[in-house]
Amino acid sequence: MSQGRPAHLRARDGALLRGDVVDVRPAGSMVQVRLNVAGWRPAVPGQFAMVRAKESHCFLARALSVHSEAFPAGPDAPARVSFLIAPVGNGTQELTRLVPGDEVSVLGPVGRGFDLDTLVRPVSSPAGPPARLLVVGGGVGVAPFLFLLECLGRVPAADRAAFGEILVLFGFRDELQAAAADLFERAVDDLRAVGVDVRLDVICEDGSLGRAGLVTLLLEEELRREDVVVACGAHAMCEAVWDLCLGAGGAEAWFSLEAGMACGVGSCQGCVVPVAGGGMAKVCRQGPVFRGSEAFGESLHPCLSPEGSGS
Amino acid sequence: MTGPAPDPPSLLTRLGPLELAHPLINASGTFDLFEASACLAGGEDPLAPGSLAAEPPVAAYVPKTVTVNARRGNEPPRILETAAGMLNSIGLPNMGLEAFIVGELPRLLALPCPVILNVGGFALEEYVHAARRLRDALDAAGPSGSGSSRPWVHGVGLELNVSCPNVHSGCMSIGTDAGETRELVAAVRAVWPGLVVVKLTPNVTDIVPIARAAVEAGADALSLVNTFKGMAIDRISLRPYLGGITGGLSGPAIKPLALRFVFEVRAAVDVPLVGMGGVENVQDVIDFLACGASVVAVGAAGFRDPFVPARLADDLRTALRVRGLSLAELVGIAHHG
Repeated sequence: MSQGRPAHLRARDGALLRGDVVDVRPAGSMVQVRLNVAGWRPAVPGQFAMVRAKESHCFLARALSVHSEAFPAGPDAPARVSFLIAPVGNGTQELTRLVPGDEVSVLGPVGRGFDLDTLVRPVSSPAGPPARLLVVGGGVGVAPFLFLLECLGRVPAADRAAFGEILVLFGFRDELQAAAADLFERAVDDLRAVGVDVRLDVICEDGSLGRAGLVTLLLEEELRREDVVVACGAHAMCEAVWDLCLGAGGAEAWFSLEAGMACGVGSCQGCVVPVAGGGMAKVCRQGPVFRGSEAFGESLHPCLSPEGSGS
Repeated sequence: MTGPAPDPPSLLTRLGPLELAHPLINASGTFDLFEASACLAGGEDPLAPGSLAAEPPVAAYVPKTVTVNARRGNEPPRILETAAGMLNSIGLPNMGLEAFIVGELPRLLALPCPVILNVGGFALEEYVHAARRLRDALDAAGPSGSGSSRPWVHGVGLELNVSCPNVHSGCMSIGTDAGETRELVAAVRAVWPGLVVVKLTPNVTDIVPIARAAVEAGADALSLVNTFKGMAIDRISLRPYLGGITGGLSGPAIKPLALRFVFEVRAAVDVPLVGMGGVENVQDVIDFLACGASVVAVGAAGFRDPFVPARLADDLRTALRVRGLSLAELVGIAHHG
């Protein structure tokens, strides 16, 4: 009965892939968990996987953004997939307590990721300054952007000319959480090595790295109408980022949204978020990456913008 | 000693006019075959060869509840993991009956397994209207049109959701009252020529009179049970966590509770039962069958892995062979002194 089904979808094996823990490395108050995953198909930045320890006290898997992906032993060998996890609840704590050799189940990659073509070929007005890519992450919301930067580093030189500069703006609660920014240094160096003008800026809420503030403070100082923004973090951060984009005259923005979910494949309808137009969208299926206008509409949030209309 | 290998135990299962390849199906609302198929295939054609929908992991597919009018569903948050299970407060979001008939029914009929449509309502008339409209749509889609001979009754059944705990209009309480259940089932029976399954709620003092009423009114089978009403408190705000305030509890936490309902109802009525509640592994399946279920539905465990029902069917075949039992011998065996 399994004939004709792709290898990763055999009925007997199910949709779940086997992941073997390679290492578990603290990054400040977050933890990077690296797995070898057999049968993993190449993902797109912004996609996620449902991950659960084989011996688990949790009923459900956890939805985790792909933090990094590599195929060190070739396309047919197990992929090296890593996740950046903030141990805030039962499930995430369990995953960060795994040790090398532990087995996990992995369902993924799933979801709609960032459209790389759009990101590297932004439409910039001929008269204005060149388009820049602004990468905005808050807390564990920085997770998908290592993978994104790694992919941008592999964009052919001819296409890279399309974006002038990449600004990576990260906000963390405190210095301990901000240690996760170190994970991005190599990707930033690799981008510079291939000629991309890239800068990483970090701010902490408690001022432990200098200025105190939210990542939106950095964004507000930088944002221009021609910029393209990708953002991931708490829902309130994403809304504030979108308001800044509208306030800047309509910068393009994509958001990777977070929601608790049971299945990750469109079945449970637990992960819905209200979207522009009054409907609900499944984060797992229509997202997790949404265009700003799709997720938040075209008008500023009234409570955040006493100035009124953004149009 | 060598001899011919014994035939593998048959898992063929009858549910009224439906013939199921094995007794494992999904619980309504816990598995969206087309969505999961598209997600897992990484493409947008869920019926592509080799896809989940082309080879369903269930012996019959039960889609999510459809209501006459479209519903947005409850506000998030809608789900929360609990000890050995989960709470959900989804609130029956759906596209509404007419959109379902146009947009969903055709691809359901294209599936290579029977389908048990699931309808909910807020008044008896809504169930009857839905049953009539679905009947007419199936007649129109079929080769023979309407009339006494309707081949589609062997492929399409109807499950009445009289038991959703997450819709607060009051009318979903039909399943808590034997008289209302009797009236509803009789009215649907009068217009629906195929399989009628009634999905009962466990949130009652005594389920047996309600089960009897449904069977006496013409139900061909009963589904036992829907989720148990519960709630959770947000640990920061100390207010109800779920957008819908209360939710339905499912998962292994409820299995012993659900088994009791199946056991009691089996002793009281003589129609096939669809048992469900916390089914995760083959022992759970065996337990429900032993208590008298002919069909076993996987619910929340399918969220972790959509292939659970198919794997449990394989495991059941092995378990029957090991025990030297036929499926027919296993069903209801717990009732035999």
